[in-house]
Amino acid sequence: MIQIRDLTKIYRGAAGEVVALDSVSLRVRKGEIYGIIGFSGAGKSTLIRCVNMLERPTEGSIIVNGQEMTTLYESQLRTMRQKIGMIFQHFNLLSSRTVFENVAFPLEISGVAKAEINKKVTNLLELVGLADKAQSYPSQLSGGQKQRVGIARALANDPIVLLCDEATSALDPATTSSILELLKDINRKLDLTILMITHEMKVISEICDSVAVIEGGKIIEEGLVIDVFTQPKHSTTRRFVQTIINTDVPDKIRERLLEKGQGQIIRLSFIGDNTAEPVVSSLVKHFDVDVNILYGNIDQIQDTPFGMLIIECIGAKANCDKAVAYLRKQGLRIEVLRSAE
Amino acid sequence: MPNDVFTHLATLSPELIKATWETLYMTVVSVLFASLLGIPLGVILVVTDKGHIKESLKLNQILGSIVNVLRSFPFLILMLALGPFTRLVVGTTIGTTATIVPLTIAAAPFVARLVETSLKEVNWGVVEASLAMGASTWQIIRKVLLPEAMPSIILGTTITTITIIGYSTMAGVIGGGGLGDLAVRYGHMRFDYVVMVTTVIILVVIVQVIQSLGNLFAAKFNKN
Repeated sequence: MIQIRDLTKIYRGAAGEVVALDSVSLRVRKGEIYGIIGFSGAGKSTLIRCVNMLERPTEGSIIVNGQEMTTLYESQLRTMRQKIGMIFQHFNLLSSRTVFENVAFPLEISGVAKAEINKKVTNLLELVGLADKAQSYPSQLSGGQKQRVGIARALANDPIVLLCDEATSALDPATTSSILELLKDINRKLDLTILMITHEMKVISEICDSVAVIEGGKIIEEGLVIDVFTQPKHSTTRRFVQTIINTDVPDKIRERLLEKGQGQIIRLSFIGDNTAEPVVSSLVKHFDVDVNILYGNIDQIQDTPFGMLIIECIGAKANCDKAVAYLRKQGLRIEVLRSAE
Repeated sequence: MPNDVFTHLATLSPELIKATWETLYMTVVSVLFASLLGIPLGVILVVTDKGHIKESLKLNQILGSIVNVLRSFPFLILMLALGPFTRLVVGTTIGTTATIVPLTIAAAPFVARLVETSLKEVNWGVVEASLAMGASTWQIIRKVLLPEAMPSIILGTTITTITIIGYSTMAGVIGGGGLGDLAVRYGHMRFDYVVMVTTVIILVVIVQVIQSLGNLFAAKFNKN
C-alpha cells in the first residue's frame, strides 16, 4: 500500500547540510498497522511527512496505492492528499469551527454536497463516540476528545491510508489506550492501512503489526512486532523494548545468579504456544538433573504470550548437555549463561 | 453661566451634528476601502512569506517595501501629496469625500500589517493539516486563515478605525470638515473653549463606542 524506496531528505541551511533521512526503504502492506519508532531527532517525523509530500524528499520514491507521489503536479497531489488521512500530536483542529464543522471541513474541500456532508459527519461522530459533542468547540474538549475529532476528520474522505504523527504523545496513558483501541477498531472495521510514528514502545506493542526502528535517519531494524520485541538485534531497539518489557535480567540479579551454585545456567526464551508446554518438569523426569528456577517473567504482545526463564541445571555435565539439546529441540531460544564445571 | 453654555451649544448644534456626521462618514468609508485594499494585501504578505503556502519572496519584498514607504509618510503630507491622485479618483481635491482618498491610502498599509500580524498568529499546524487534507491556497485563506484570525482581525480593525478618526481631524486642511476641523476653527482660532471641549467629548464617546463594539465582536468570534 505504501512503498518507500531509497528516500533521502537533506535540509540545506546556513549551518550546512543536515541529512534527516538517509536512503530509507520500507513497505507497508494493505490493512496492516505499521509503526515507526525512534527517539526525537531520528527523522521519523520527516519520514511520515514525506508520505503525503508535506516535506519534499531530496531523493527517492514514495508509492501510495500504486501512485508515485514525488512526481505529482499540485492539483494531482491535492486530489491524492484527500485520500490520505492524517492525525497529529497537537490535533490541529480549527478553533473557530465546531466539532461538526471540523469533521465537515475536508468534505467541503473535496466538494461534497451539503446533504451528503451532514450524513457522513453524523456517522463519523457516531463512529468515534462524539455524537453528543457535535456543536461543541475544540476548546471545550479534552485532549482525547480532540484526537477523536481529528480521527473522524481524517476518515471523512474515506482514505486509503491513515498517517498518525505522534497521535498519542500529548495524551495521558489511559487516554492513549482508548485512542489506540479506536485506531485498531477502525483498522479492522475499514481494513484501513495505518502508518504511525511514535517514540512510545507501548503504542507499537499495543496495536502495530510491523515495526521499523529509525535512528540517525536510517532504518536500523524492521520486522513483525513480535519478532522485533522478542529478538531485538540493535542496541537501540533493545532500549525501546526494555521500556516496556524486561528481556534482560537486571545486572545486580545476573551477578548474584552467576555467583551462586555450581550448575549450568540457562536462559530460555519462548514465544507463543509453547509457553504452555511443561518443559521444565520434562527435564527433571527424563535427564536425571535437578532444575532450579532462578528468574522468570512472562508478557504478552497483542495476543502472543512470550517470556523467559533462567534456570540452573544441576547434574552430570553430560546430562546437562543432553537437557540443553532437548530444550533446543522444543523450539525454544536457549542461551547458556554459564556452563557446568 | 451653564445657561450660557447650553444656549451657545444650541446655536452651534447644527455645526456639531454636521461635523460629527462628517467624521463618521470619512471614517467609516475610509475603513471600508482601506480594508478592501489592506486585507488582501495582508493576506498576500503572509502567504508569500518564506515557508508559507505560496512562497514568493520577490513579491513579498516588493509589497513589503510599498507598505513601509506608505506607512512612513506623516498623514498631513500624504494628504497634500496625493492631491493629483485624489482628483483622478473623485474629481476634486477638496471636501469630505476628497479626504477619503488619502485616508484610505494611509490606512490600507496599516490594515495590511495588522492583518499580516493576525494571520501569522494562526497555528501553523492547522494550516499544515489543511494542506494534508488537500486544501488549495484559496481554500486555506478563506476557510482557515481568515476565520481562525477573525477575532484578531476585528480588534485590528478597531485600532484602524480609531487611528483613522485621529487622521480625519486633519481633514480641515483640505476642506474635509469633521470634528477636528470644528475644534480648530472655533476652539483654537476663536478661543471658543465650549466647542473645543464638546468636540473632544464627542470624539472620546465615539472612540469608546467603537472600542467596545470591537471588543464585543471579537469576543463573539473567539471560540478559544
